Amino acid sequence: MSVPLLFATLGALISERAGVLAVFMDGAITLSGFIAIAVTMATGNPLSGFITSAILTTSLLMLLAWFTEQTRANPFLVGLSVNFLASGTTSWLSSHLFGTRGVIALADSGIHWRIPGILSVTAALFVTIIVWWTLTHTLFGLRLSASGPAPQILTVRGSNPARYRIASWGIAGFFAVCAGTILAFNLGAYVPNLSAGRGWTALAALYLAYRKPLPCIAAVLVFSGAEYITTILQGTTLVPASIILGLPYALALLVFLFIPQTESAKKTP
Amino acid sequence: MKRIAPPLVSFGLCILVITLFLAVSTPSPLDTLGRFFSGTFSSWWYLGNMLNTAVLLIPAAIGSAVALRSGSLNLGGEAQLYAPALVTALLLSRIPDTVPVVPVFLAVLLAALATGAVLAAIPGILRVRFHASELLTSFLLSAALIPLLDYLVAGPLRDPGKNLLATRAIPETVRIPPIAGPSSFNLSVLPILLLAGFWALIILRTRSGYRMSMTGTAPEFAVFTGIRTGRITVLGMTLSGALHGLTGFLAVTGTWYTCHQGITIGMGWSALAVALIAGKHPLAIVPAAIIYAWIQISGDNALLSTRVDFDSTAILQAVLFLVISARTIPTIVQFRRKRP
Repeated sequence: MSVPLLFATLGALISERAGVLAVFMDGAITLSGFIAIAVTMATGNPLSGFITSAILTTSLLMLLAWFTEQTRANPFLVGLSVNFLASGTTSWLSSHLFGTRGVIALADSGIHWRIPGILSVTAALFVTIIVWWTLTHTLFGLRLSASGPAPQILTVRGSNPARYRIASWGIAGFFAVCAGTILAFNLGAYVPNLSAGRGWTALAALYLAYRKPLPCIAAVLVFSGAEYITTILQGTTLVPASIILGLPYALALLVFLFIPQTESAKKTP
Repeated sequence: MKRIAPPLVSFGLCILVITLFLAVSTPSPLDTLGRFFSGTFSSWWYLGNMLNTAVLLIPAAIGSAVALRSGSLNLGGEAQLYAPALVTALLLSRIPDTVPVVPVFLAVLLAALATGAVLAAIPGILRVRFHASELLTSFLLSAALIPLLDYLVAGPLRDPGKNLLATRAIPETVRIPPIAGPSSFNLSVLPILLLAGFWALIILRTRSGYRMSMTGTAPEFAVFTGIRTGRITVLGMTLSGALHGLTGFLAVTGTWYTCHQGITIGMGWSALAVALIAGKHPLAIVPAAIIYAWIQISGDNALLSTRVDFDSTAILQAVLFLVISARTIPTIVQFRRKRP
């Protein structure tokens, strides 16, 4: 259950290392989930859904990153616009292609396929270790880490920090795709607002993990645990459902309040 | 012309994109596009509602502009609209008939402003004391509150006499009279236009306005000249919230006469978009709000004749944010990128 969140958090981590807080994660997750489901319904092959979603979402984000660099745009606004774009485009495509703005179920077209839980968990943990190793031990990873707080180091050495920012958006997008497709395939359907605020929880988990890859696992488990508890509470009707909807955001807010911000404050506005 | 070009380009692109979407989604493109471009002018009802939407947007847009001027980005507009609207509807619907109208009206107005102010002050204070990004804190606070407010409106505070997800209607005596009935365009347009002028006057001609602008554009310089940037940041956010609260108040007293779920209709985000498009000149907010309202209302109208039902407002906002982000607040980006 925490696997999508872990992917999302890793994506946000990479983007944040390059200096930009990934506000687009939420929209990217929803959009990629939609594309995956739509393509899977069309072709009957879940893998093609995942690949198409990966290609489209990552390209879109890299295009927007390039646009941001070229026009010196404000990356937060561009990220926000991705969220709106995802919401609007999915509702338009959903209505246009499937005739409904609601739930699009795979089962309706005869596809009953679920990702085995153990597979996704192992994949997520494996990816986390790869991310950690890449960031600390490879040239690409180290340069990426430098491009956020100290891009002049890169320029002095002849690399272009903008390229790393664009790459970071692309990688973050890819992780968002992983998160979105896992969410969608686990449900067996696309529901509007698939991410349900998980993109923002990912950002909070990122700070909870002190912006390091390995502690992300622990942070994600904390948030998933909270989500699990609220799901149980929802069933017992002790707490109204609406409040539970607001909980991811409230939790993320609390994290920001109570985790020391000294180091990160200087890096991200 | 150079100053008008960027907003015109932004709006132009929006219109183009929405036109494309509409054209693809309908079996009769000419009819739909006709509705899009001229439908709003076809009757007083449409026109009045469009103008009313613009009037509602203006205080909130000024709020966003205040925050931007003082160097913050207030993303919590939705809750800063919704909560004061709820407070307004609640308080006004429960006053006894014998109490004099004007003092009550003003008192509730103050309450609404205060509610919005508090909701925005919190992220402001968090930024100054804890260096927490007001971008995230304001958004998260808003996103966390909205489900709660929805619950309150649909649950404990709902009007039991009707089947709507709304609170009890406010009495006739405290409603702002409409001008161009049966549309919602009402007398609030007059004080709002005055407010816009007032804002322009303050920010351009007074010392406090200067301090605020300087805090936003060159914070380090401001500190060196003795301006208390921390206070101004908090003040900017607080005013921003109060102005959003004003929009919420007007939405209840002038337009809907009650607080229903979804009363904000995305105005929190629209206001930010309008403020960003209006850019450096404060008075530009009024025409920007009108044009934006026109695009949104026309889009909604045209949608009615299409086969496809989609969230055109979201696409509108997406395109706008994308286009204007290219030219907005470059100083904030520069400054923040250079931080050690």
